[in-house]
Amino acid sequence: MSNPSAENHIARAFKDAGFWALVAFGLFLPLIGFRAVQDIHNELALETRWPLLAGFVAIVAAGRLFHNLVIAPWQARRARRLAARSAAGVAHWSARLAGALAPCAIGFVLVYPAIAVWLAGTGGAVKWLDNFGIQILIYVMLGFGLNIVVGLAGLLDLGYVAFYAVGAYAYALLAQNFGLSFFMLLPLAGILAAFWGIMLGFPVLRLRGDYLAIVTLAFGEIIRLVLINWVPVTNGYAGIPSIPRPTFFGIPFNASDEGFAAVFDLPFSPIYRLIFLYYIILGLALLTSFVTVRLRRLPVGRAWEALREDEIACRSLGINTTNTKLTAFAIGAGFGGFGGAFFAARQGFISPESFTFMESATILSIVVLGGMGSQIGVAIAAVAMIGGTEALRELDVLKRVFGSDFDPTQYRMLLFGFAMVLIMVVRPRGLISTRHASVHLAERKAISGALVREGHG
Amino acid sequence: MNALLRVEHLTMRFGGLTAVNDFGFTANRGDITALIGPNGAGKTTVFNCITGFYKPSEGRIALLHGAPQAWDDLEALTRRDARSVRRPDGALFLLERMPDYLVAQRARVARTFQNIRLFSNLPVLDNILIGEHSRLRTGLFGTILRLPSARIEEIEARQRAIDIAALFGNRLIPRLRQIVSGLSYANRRRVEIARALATRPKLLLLDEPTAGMNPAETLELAEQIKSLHGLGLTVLIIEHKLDVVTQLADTVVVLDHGEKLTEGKPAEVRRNEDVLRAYLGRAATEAAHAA
Repeated sequence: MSNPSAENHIARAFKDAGFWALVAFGLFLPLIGFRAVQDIHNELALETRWPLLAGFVAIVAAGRLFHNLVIAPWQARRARRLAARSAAGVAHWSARLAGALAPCAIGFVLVYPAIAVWLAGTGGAVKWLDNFGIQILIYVMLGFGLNIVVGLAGLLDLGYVAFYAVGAYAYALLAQNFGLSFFMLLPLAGILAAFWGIMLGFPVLRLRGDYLAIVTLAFGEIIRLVLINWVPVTNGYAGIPSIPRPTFFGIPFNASDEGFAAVFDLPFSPIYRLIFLYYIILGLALLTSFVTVRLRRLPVGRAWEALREDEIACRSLGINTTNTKLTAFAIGAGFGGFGGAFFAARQGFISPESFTFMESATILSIVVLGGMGSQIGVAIAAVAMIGGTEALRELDVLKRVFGSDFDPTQYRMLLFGFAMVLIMVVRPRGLISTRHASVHLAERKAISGALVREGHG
Repeated sequence: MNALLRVEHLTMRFGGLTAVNDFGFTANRGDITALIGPNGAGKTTVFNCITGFYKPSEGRIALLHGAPQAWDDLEALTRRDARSVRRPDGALFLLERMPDYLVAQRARVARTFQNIRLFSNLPVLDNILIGEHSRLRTGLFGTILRLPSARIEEIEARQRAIDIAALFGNRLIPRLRQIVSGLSYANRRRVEIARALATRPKLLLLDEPTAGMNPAETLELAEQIKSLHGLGLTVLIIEHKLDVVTQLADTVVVLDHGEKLTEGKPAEVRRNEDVLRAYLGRAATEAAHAA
């Protein structure tokens, strides 16, 4: 690069940063620059906050300058490198990583309770198993379930939490009123959720894209409002307390003489119940993943992917698109129901508060961040999003920096937003955006993420 | 006459616009029938009616599998308000009464699209395999449990898909694992035809298969279509290149402004004055006369 053009480049970068500073100024002037306060006479007075406004504008300008001078050239170099590599047939790092990561990840989660107990002791491991292990695995499972609907069949579902709620309430009500056991109710909750998936699916699956998203969003809200207002059955806002906990093949996890600890002659500790729950949800998550992987390689899964690509072409090939969509919807909903039943059994208490749109959005962002259709990507995204939230609680260091009334979890959504923007800029199709071909011929050749990137239609 | 498809009094109106008006023709079993006409004549509308994408405003579209004696049932079937009638020696379908996916699944009509509609983020082989989907029997549980029957069916399906790709010589075979969106235009056309063939059709509808191809490729594809016809397939083709039509078609049907202009052997149609006028305009016909 010759000198004048380099200078030109820098000048352009500054000019661009100046422009964005101006935009930021315009945007932040009413938002930050002015503030209406009530003065001592109880009248509204306008207060200006010029230094704060200047600070924000400076941050935007500096950030944009940094992007222009450092990130943009780096991205351009990276795109060139990728193009060269995909031409040479070399797989992207994420593809190679994904292949090696899955067995390691499964091995790790299998021994995770042992590691937690060994490192933190029986008392300390409770937090690591409950908040990090079980909590994350619930979302991994929900992510896998939603991935069937969104990632494979391409149906944008913003009301996934409705099926989660159906599963949870199905377990809670049936266990309380009929005294059925957890393992009997688990499939039942799944079937009920799948049934509601079909009920919702029949009228709305003729819709596509944004329209479907809006209807499913409404469905999620309807279910929540029914749960709130159908007080005789659901107990409304008060929720359902003291839901029966799952037992170890009939042996309850409590301190009584018939309890798990007493029967196996161990000192009583809540950790046994948690380990048991951990393996249940791990089993469920692995089941979901297993079913998804199996389905996508064979006709049903191929039909889903075809449906995502082009519905009219599907119909011209004799594929009943309504049934195919319903299958995807019902299976996804069924797994949501499993997750819900487990959630109710683990919490022992459920209320409509647990099934807000926020949950749907979290699950959807896990799927999108992870890379639609990628199993390991969804798992990583769940660990990052849910584990990240939990980890924020642990950051007491920040309290020393920002003062004792600083609560890091308040900034959770801000961080989610940043993570989302970052992922969409750097890896627009999600963390693991590689699609493994469902068919393998004699010689295996991975397909680069660059080839399957969107932008062709 | 050994007719496979009979289109009678087909009329398609979109609001006040009549795209196809009282149109009818017959496609004989094993023949290649070409549908030609200037842009906007209603050719693709006819295709969409046959494949069930449009419900015709008026008219009857009947398709026969098996022995021609089954045609005797046509009037009875039409009155009976049923979609199809099955007899031991054949089956008769009224396509205008069937939803689009059943036209492909039961009546076995496959088509390609004027603006290629492939599953562009999937590999070539998957595209062809999806074409076989309606012929596969493995259900959900067979898939999840991976029953032996499901595995055998899958292996056979792949073998068939590869065999179909092999119909196009060495054009598709080396690219089976490539993502479709990276293929050349001509190859994408070939994949689309292969995918349609994978549904094991009785009637294949090709909507401008050689559009966007150079003369050499056009020639090659024309040969390949001719060889398909050797497999006993009945082909209905929309084509603008008249030399391709002359080379391929047994019968040519000419459509203009939604109405049938004429029908006949390619050579006859090429000499027909109405056809020349519709295609080239009055002045050109006069010029041709003067010459």
